[in-house]
Amino acid sequence: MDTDRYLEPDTAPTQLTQEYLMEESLEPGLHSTSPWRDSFRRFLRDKRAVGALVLLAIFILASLFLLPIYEHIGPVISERHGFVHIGPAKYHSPTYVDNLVENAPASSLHWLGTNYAGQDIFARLLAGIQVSLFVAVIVVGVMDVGLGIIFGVLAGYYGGILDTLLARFTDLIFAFPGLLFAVLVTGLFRQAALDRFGNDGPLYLVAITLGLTIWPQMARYVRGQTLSLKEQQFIEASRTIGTSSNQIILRHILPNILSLIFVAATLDISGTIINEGVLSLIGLGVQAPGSSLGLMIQESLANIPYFPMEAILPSLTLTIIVLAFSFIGDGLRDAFDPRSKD
Amino acid sequence: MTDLLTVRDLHTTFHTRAGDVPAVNGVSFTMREGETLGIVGESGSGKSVTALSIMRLLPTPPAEITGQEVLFAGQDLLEMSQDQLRALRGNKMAMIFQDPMTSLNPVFKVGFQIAESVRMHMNLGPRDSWNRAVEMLDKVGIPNAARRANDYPHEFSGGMRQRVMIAIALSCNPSLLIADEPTTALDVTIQAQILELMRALSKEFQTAVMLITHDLGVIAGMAQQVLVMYAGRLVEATDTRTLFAKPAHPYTQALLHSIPRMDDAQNERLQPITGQPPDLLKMPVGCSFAPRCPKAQARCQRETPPLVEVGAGQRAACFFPY
Ligand SMILES: Nc1ncnc2c1ncn2[C@@H]1O[C@H](COP(=O)(O)OP(=O)(O)OP(=O)(O)O)[C@@H](O)[C@H]1O
Ligand SMILES: [Mg+2]
Repeated sequence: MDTDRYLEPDTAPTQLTQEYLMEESLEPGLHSTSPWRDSFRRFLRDKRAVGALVLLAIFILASLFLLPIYEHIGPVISERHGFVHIGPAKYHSPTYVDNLVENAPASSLHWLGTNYAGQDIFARLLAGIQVSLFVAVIVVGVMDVGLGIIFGVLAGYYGGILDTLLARFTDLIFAFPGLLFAVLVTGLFRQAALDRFGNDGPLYLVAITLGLTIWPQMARYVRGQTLSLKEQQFIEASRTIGTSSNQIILRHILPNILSLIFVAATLDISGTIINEGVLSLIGLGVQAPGSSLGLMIQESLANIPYFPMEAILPSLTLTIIVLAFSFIGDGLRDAFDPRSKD
Repeated sequence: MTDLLTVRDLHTTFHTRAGDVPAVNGVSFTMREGETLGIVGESGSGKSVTALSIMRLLPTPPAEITGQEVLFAGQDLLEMSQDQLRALRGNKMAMIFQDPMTSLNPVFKVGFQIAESVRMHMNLGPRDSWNRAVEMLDKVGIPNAARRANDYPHEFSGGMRQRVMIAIALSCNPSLLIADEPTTALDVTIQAQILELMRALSKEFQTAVMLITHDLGVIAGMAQQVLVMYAGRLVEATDTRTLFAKPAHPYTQALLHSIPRMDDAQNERLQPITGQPPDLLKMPVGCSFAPRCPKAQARCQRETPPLVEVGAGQRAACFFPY
């Protein structure tokens, strides 16, 4: 293969042609036979998305490993006139309530201060990130996107009974205003979840319930996109070369809606994290002294005029997480849509 | 030359809420290997449905395809399972469509899309099928094929995309290519190029082409045999020369009068065909062209004329031909 042709005068040596040159010399032809790899490369080229991904990874690692370390940092202190001696394992625990140090400012003891119940805010942030990301991943990553794609694509592509079922279920969910459905279900089954799965039970319940309420909308959206895609000529054209329905769904429908799904999913993530907070606040989510970003925000609202930091810290963390997800979503969208500018 | 495709008494009916639409109504014809067969007729006459029925690409329901047989290379397509058909499509028979702008998947490189067909049917690895894709792109006249294979559909013009579609269609060397108005969406100069390309490649690959078009000029330049369709029926079937020299059916004659001709005297006006084609839901008894036919007589309103031999190699469905 001659590489000179890329240096023809009419082909200005843009970044693109240089890249061809580079790749050509690496492994002629082979590199570009996989669209997934093409998408992956486009994603890696998006600095913002990669940065956001790294940031999220740091957040996750911090919430997993920094918290246990933090619980070992600090002196043993005496409380209640020297009767009680406690170490950092206690007062740096995200759940330890100490009503003697309510709303304390940041100090060497409590790095980011304490909240209205005397709980260490830094510890609660770390624990909260974990919970919120867990909920976001289960609700949006698994249920919203997973069920949304499966039911949406199948209903849109095949129609029939599945389509009717989806429509009825969606109507059912939409019939409840706002969080009412989630409140009802989590309220009803909270005790059962506690009995069955212990302290984490309610969190699983919340995640599943929120997921249950969110995916029909995604499925509806995906269904609509599938319906309009199905009518496109290239679907019929692919049939004429012997592509089966399964392959059409996997190779033609999915790749064409992925970019839209990513954007829709990023929007759902922030809402989900907030909703989890609302449920936690009314006692249906995270078990009592536990923590989540949404809960921290909800708890701080009453004291905002006096202790604004207690609202700002979790809000800022949440904002960063949501922004990171949206950058990643944008990056994924562009990665799967070659028409977007590189 | 041997027979490649024999269609006998093909019927395609759409069962709709408004009633049954007999879109193809007893069509019979034969195509020989390597031959180009033109199908002409007004919009809605059933040309596309005929093609799609042969490839069995219509969703059933609402469509229902029946017929005596559709023999393709000795096998009856009407008897085949979907799996068997899929193995044929893209491999032994292929199709290209009118609108090249939407015929390609926007998210995949064109090289990949050509390679996909090759991979499915020719048992080649990713690398070999990619090379085959580049080779095909080169064959359909895309400059810098090796580089262009890495481009996405939106980076190609309409004419270029139709070339890519042709590359996909011919990539497995099919014996039948169905082209449904392949140039209607393109401007005139590009049309000529694409037709020329199709003619050259069908010759090189020995591919029979079923060319569906509105344009009798295209027929004149490309086809050896012609079918004229009207309201789901064949009204005339003959070779191209006879069609222009001695059209038998009044509808064919009217079609020829409705297009401008170079050799016509300036003062001869074009004669549009008056009236509308019949509503397929309420087909009249008798000849479906009778309401618009200048030669119609009482018999035409009562009986449906069968497609019979009216001359050497010329069949027409008319009681009063010529
Ligand atoms: N899915 C369908 N359901 C009901 N009727 C249909 C369907 N598809 C096609 N038809 C009808 O079948 C008839 C033939 O359509 P067809 O597309 O074959 O026409 P055509 O000759 O290709 O016309 P054109 O030149 O406009 O492409 C039309 O009357 C059309 O309304
Ligand atoms: Mg048509």
